[in-house]
Amino acid sequence: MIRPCCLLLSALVLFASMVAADEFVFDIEQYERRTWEVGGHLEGTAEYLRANRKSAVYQLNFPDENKKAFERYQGNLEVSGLYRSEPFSLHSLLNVRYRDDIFETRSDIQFFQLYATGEPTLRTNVEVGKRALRWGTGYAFNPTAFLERPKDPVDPDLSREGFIIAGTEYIRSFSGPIQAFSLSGTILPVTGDINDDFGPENDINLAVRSYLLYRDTDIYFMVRHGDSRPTAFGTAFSRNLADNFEIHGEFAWFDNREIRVAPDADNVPVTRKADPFDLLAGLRYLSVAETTWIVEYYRNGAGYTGSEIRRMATLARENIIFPGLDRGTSRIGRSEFGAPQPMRDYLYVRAMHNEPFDRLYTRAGATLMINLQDGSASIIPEIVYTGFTNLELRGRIAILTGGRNTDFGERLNRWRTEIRARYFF
Amino acid sequence: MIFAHVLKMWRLFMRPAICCIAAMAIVPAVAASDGSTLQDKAQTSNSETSSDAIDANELLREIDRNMQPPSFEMYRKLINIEPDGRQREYVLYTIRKDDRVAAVFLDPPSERGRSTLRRGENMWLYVPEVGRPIRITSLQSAVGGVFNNSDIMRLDFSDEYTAELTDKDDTHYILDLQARDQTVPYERLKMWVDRDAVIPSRIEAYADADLLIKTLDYSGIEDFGDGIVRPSRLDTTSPLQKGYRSVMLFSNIRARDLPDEAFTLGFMPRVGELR
Repeated sequence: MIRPCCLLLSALVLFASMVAADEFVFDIEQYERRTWEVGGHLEGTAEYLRANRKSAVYQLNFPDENKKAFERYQGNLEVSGLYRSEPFSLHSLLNVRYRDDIFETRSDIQFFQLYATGEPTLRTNVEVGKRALRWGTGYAFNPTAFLERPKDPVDPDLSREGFIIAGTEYIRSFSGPIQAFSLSGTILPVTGDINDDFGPENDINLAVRSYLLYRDTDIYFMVRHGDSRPTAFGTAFSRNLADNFEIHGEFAWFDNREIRVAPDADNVPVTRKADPFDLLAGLRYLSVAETTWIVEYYRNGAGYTGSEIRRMATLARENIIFPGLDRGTSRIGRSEFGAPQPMRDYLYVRAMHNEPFDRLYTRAGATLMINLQDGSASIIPEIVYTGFTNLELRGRIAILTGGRNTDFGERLNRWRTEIRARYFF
Repeated sequence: MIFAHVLKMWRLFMRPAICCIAAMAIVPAVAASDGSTLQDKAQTSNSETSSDAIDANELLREIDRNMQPPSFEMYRKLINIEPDGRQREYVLYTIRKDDRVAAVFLDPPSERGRSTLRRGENMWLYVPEVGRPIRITSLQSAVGGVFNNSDIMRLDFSDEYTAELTDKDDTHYILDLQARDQTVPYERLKMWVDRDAVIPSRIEAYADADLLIKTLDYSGIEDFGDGIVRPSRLDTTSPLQKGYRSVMLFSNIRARDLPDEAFTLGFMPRVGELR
């Protein structure tokens, strides 16, 4: 008697589980708007770097070290918060970083963003606080990013710290040839305590940007004026030529832009006028084989010439022999020479393929960046897997090529491997 | 030519079955030229070969109208089921007005806040980390992985296909839908239309005249209020993706008078605020 009952019960449970397996629940209450929202990610990165000990950047940054290879471990926590109190809301993005390698162990905690917004009308938005604005249509480079910190083209999607601003935006939508319009104005003050890394001069900097969606083309015009950075005018566009082909471009003009170059023979800091124009031209193409191509040409008007790079590299090496002889070179080298793209002409190619070898939740591809002046380059193959819930795994190998006195040939490392795990919550 | 065609097939095959669920789900209304019910016209025209195409297209517009109002909001849950039983769920909040669609992911956390905007053939993606909208190709994956922008942000059947009434029985009309141009992912659809409710009950999607890519089955007819009576569930399978299955659940489909400005780049970070 007991045995048949057990069998019947088992059958019922099995049947119930089979039925339940196909009964999906969609409780939308948990997706309704709440007063508070918190989210973010926690990530850990492990890197192995093969140092380029003869490079200028290595010798500028680590004159007392002589490591052939080293590991670097980094942790990064980003927490975004949102508090709503109609018609206002408070937004925050907290960033906590930890880094450990042979050169240093460092941790930082700061708000990348902390700002309040108000919406007097649906068409108008006002923002006050620390805000990371993003201008431009390019993927890896943005000449018209007039109010931003530098972007690393190797990881262009990473969060970056904002500046303290006050701004407003007005948007409209139409049904004619001009399909949409927006106008935004931003005030960015620079004082000894506020935004002091935006530029050397204290001032109230102003920036205005207008946007048009005109006959299916995104068109932007922007201007920045103030003493902290050179006055700048810019324009950008983007358009789909086909359902799998997009083109974009940016152009920026800077008034009296100067750059610091290596000091003269008497170790006196030297500046020179830079080319006033920056240019970006790019495309995005999705192939039939499901590979996304991003190709961009970037002309950096404030970039160094080949001879300037050679001179700085030479001085950097001499600095090892005569430390302290040219501190100006060290300062310049760490800021400008060590920038992601210190020279003038770059070609960027990124190809990412979805689901290679039928592997669901997998992307594989590579990023190539070539310095067109000296032929040096970096190539970064990578693979990304998102098959685990809320977890993204990424592996990369970065290989740098180039001889002495070239852009990528004088970088910190010859190659590096990287594994990153990012957990979203 | 053959190679390109094979590659195109391959691209479509690689997508999990969920790819076109949303496509078939977003079917807002385009008001018919008159307010009358069209099924009678379709029935009548079935015996009049010369007028089949015209009446079938009117029937298609009525299907669009029955599935969703002209300006509306809705929630969708997309469930991707793999052969080993693993499931992946995505939740979207979507608004639609005329030829404009905006959708924002509410779940999972890795996608939360990503929004996509479509205005006609223009499409943009906003990622909170990136902080600005980026114009994208409509065939590109919106979030990485399984979803195709065109699938999620699809417009009306009647905007993208021309219809012909090919057959009927006691319960269904059978329509043959041909793509108006090359911008749609499926060249031909075969649609079984419930004669009483004038809504699709099954759709077969073909990449070519005879190559079946996906089968979509609507079920769970539900009264969402305001006269919206339509399926609340859509199951997708593919003969080319053995073992993969996708389910879309619909909830809170509501007519809503949405402002035009909700479909602009400046509003993309705030689409979710309309909930």
